[in-house]
Amino acid sequence: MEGEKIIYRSFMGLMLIIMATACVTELEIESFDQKEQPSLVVEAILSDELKTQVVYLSRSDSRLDLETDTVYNPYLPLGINPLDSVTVESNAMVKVVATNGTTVEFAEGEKGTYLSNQPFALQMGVEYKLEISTESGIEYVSDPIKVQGTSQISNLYAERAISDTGVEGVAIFIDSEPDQGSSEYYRYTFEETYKIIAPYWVESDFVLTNYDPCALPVPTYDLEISIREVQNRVCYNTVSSNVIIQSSTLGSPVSKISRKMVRFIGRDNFIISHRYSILVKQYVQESEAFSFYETLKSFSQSDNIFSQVQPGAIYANVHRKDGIDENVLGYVEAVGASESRLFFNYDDFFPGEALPDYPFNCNLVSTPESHTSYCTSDPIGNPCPLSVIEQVNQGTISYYGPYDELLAPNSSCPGPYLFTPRVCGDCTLLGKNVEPDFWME
Amino acid sequence: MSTLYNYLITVKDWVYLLPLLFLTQMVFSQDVPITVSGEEKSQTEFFAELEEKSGYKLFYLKDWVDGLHVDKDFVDATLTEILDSILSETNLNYYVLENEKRIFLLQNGIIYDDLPLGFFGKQDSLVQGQNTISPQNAPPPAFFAETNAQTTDRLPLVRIGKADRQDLRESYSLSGKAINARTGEPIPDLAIRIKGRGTMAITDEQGNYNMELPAGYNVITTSAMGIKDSEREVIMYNDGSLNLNLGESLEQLDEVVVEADAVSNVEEAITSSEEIESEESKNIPLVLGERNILEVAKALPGISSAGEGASGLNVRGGKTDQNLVLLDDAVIYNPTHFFGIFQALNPFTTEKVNIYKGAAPVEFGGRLSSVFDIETKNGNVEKISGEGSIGPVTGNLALEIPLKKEKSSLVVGGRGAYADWILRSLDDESLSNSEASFFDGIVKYHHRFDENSEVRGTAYYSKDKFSITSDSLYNYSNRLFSVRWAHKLSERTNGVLTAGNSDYNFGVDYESEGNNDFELDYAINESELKYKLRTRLNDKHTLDYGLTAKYYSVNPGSIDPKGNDSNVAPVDIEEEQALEGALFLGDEFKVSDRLLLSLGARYMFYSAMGKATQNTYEEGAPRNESTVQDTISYGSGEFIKTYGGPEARVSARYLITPDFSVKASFNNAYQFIHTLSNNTTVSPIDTWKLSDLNIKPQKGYQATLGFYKNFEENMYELSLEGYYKRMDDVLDFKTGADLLLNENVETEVLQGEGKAYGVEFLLKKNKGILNGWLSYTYSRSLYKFDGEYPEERINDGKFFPSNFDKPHDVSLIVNYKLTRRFSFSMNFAYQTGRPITYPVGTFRFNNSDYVVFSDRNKYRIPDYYRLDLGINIEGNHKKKKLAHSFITLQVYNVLGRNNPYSVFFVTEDGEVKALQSSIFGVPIPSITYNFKF
Repeated sequence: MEGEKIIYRSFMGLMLIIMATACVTELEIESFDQKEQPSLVVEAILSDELKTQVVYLSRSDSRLDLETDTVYNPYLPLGINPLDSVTVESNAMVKVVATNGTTVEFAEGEKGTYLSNQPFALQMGVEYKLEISTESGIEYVSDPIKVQGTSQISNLYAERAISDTGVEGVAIFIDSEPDQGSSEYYRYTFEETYKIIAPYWVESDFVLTNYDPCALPVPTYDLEISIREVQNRVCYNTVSSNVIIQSSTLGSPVSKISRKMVRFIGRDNFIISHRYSILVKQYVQESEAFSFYETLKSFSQSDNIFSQVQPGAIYANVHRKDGIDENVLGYVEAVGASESRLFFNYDDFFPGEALPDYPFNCNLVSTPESHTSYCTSDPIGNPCPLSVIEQVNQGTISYYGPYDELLAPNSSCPGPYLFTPRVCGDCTLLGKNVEPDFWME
Repeated sequence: MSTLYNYLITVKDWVYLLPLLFLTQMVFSQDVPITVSGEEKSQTEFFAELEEKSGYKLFYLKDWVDGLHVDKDFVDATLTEILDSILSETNLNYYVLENEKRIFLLQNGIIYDDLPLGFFGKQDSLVQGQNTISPQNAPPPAFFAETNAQTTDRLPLVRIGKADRQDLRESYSLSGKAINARTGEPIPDLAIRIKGRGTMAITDEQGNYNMELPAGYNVITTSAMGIKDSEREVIMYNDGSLNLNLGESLEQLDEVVVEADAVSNVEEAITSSEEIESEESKNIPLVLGERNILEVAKALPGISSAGEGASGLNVRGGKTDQNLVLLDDAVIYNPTHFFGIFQALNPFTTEKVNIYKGAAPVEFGGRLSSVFDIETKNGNVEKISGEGSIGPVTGNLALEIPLKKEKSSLVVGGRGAYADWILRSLDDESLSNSEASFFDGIVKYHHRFDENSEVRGTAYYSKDKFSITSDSLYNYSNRLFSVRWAHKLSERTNGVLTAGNSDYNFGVDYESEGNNDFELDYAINESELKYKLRTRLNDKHTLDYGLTAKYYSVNPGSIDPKGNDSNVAPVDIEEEQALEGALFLGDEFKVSDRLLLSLGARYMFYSAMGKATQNTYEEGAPRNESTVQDTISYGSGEFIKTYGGPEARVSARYLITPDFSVKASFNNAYQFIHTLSNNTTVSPIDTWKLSDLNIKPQKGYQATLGFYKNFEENMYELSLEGYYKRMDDVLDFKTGADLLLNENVETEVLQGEGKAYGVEFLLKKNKGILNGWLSYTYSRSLYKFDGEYPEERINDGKFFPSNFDKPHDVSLIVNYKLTRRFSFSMNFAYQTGRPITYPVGTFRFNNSDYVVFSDRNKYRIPDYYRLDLGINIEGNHKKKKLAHSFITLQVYNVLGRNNPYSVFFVTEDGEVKALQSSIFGVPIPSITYNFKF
């Protein structure tokens, strides 16, 4: 056999007919079995501040639409966009029981919102339990909670900065000094209030009366241009934070917080256009609460398909008193609270530079004042856009002035007036027209 | 090739042995001397002359003898001498049909399964004078086809003893010696059975046997490891003896067979073991025509994975880190390429893998669930040979190079992927911009000093490089070296000394638009020294004993900022070291012919060593960063924490009948090394963590009970096996844990318990035109993490199904051989969809809406099923061909089933969407060209 010489023979390449695909397809979530009962959701941040403490009770929902109420979609006429609602838990009995014997009862204010009957502050070193008895008679109790420590915000300041993703804007930082107890875990929330000035506001607006779109041969109405009766040029909107911001001083010798960024606002964000204020609240948390929020936060971050966070049920520190297994969501915590407010103007950081765009594309439009009757038998359609009276009736426009071709050059069927989307001439769609008590110019 | 070589030796030996084997009156005319002159003749003319002078008729195809050297002179040579001489260096053999004076030339391809079993060297010698052989009564030697063919493979009938009217009994004793016809050595442990009865005898060390046979006609069958099964008719007239000359078993080509040897599944004491030979797995259709023995393993009961493209194997409900995967005795940390779709082992250099799912041999340890003992081929010591393939994904070439004839050889294998284009053709946009490439190479040196000593060394390296997103490049690599010296210390004792070193590392290069570019590196290295001895004390006891020591060093990683602009803070986690050792002693104790015990004990020792710092945590508080009590520093080499304990490996086999046995086993194990993965499947960026002050070793216990039955002369194997398993201190992670580069990993992981149980059914048909197997497993795999504190509990501290809990698992592998050149194969798999955690709703909290997830793994993704088909076309068997080739045409996932790989959830436009990703959602055809020379 060794005499046999076999030589490696190279060969022609082969034609390969091959296709490989990896696909990602959407599954119908609803096609899965969903027999989960709505769970009780408890949210309470009981603090060491002397105030009316609040407990929120609601139920989870089987819908998986996460859009929150605070998002305004300018492309949908107002009132048509369905806002998410929360099934609140009403008529429950709520109380906070302390180990030192004191009990504070809560009464329902708005549906699902329970307010303490009198202002009170949690004391350090005392354990508290939240007790809930729902309308259906099921009793729940929280694990004992305790204020771990306090820490005072020593400095709240804003700086012009560039974010991690390379966006220029304003960063808001906080410094704080520990006060008493052990303060290693921090969570921050904020409330930001900003001034809004409607860019196309004019003193007058349309007033439509006696409107009958079905009248024949033509609709009947009275359209007046009259001086506005309410102030709606300058408004203020307040938005609470909905993100989880946490910090831990663990491992560092001092539990002092310095230059913790709590908020970054891109320079294109209209909320800093005029005057902006932020109220930052610092909560000194217990470690269990800290890890609860941390986990909750990890679930709300998006992932790619190759590295997913293993999700799972995370439950509140609240359970049924009778020991029967029932999942309760949310969290009840006791915190050492401290807060501080800051104001600034766009000019403070970007002097002389153009303001951010108003959040809506404000343009001036002109359309015919009236339209053909809705009840006409004339089959000829109306080629023009919605008439002035129809849009005034729907509440979607604000008056700007008489028609001027230079200001609205693209109008296909101009009418006698120029007008603008209501949000551009009426700031009350974006905020309240009353200056908040704390506001300082 | 080596089989053929063995075969030819057999022919020569037979010629030599012939006069000894036959009584003098049995002289065949083929031994009558003839003279043939070979000058200037064509092959045909030569054979014509031979026919004329010998009186035999020769049958052959002209193609076969083209190029045959017939220019030799033969003077007074026997026909067999002439044929031996001229055919000795060819692939041709011959077969003499003495009664009909016909000689058939045979080409090698036919030999393997068409060889007349009863011919060469199979003539059994009768030692007692008064015995007679009655060839006229015996069935004529017949071609051996499969047992289901018309002819049988029986040897000639023998009559034993002379009937004695004074001594008529119901049974007589038959004794004798079993001899390997090729080597002349006695065959120990040969099972001799009387067909249709429960009686069985096993030959002893010297090949002797003694058994009682009923008077009259009997059929006895023999089987032993490495020895060809035989069957012969015996008529018992009186006590007598019969020596059995048995051939070595010949390799069967082209069968998809997972078998060690025919009856081993019934007879071995070890339970739950499987063997897959790389060669034999070649016809099983798999993705993109790549041979993958690990994938074939998944078709066996009890072995599964989380899904397509999940590289880790889950053996009997164990986690993916609980498998000890050895390549030539050294650990290979990640034996797969490209997310587990391809094996990182060269199929041409791989001989086989032995898989132990239950009580593994006592020499192995350190992992709870299984041992995958992968062995590389020994090279051809005669001539250069090689194998290669070109498939859609990889090109592969393996060479066997003899260095010193019959002494030493080298095996060299290399494989590279051109997989980049697969990614480019993927649907998923995030993947189509990706790149992926991999290669692996292996070198094995084998040297046989003499019969008593041999040494081999293996070096292996594999590397994967891929990017999933445009900004990050991942890579990982395995490197290992091992040396093994096997030597005979005395007649009864063999020793094997092995030394190995394995290295696994991965890295991430992140380069994005921002200023957070970084490089990350992780590495684990282990060195092992093992000395194992085997002493055959006597017929009843065989001892295995030895010791092993292992040193681990882990570099858990570092992050380094990349480039001057990067503002990533460098992180460097200190290295971990540990020592692991074991002493082991095992005894294979043959209590009786029916009862075989395998008793093993192993003492494991482990110590985490400095230099290191470790935290201690407050008692009675959840372990997190706030409850750190103290940080202790340990000096270099100082023992931080020592763990260890005894392990038992006990199994027993009881033969109810020779082909029906019941086996039971119990074993426990310690595992000191754990993977940390916050993913549902093994991804290459899993890190291994050593047990230390705060992370305890995992412990496992398993008990099995099984029934094994062979039918129809081992053509069918049936087994039913049940197991129950408990695990303690298995690791899982807290939800949302960040395990990579975490200095205090113990605060992010949980240690809990696991249990798994199941019933495995396997029916195999080992031989025949139609062969394959059907397996069904019902199994559960459950885990429980019930800490004292809510953050240490999963699902409220109750048992929940693991990610790979797939109760029903069916595999069917069928191979149908149409002709010698064409065969069809099929692979069907069905599995229950794996568990998943599902969003079940939303709730308002902290002014935002959050998804409510169900309890961990409460739901399941849709069931998985897949059908693959393949056609194998062997090249023709012409002798003149320089290389033998075969082409496989395969279609993976013929049904185009869009099997989910995972279901995951994204939040898009404020809505949670469930997305199902599948790796191979359409039928994938492939052509692979294989050649062998």
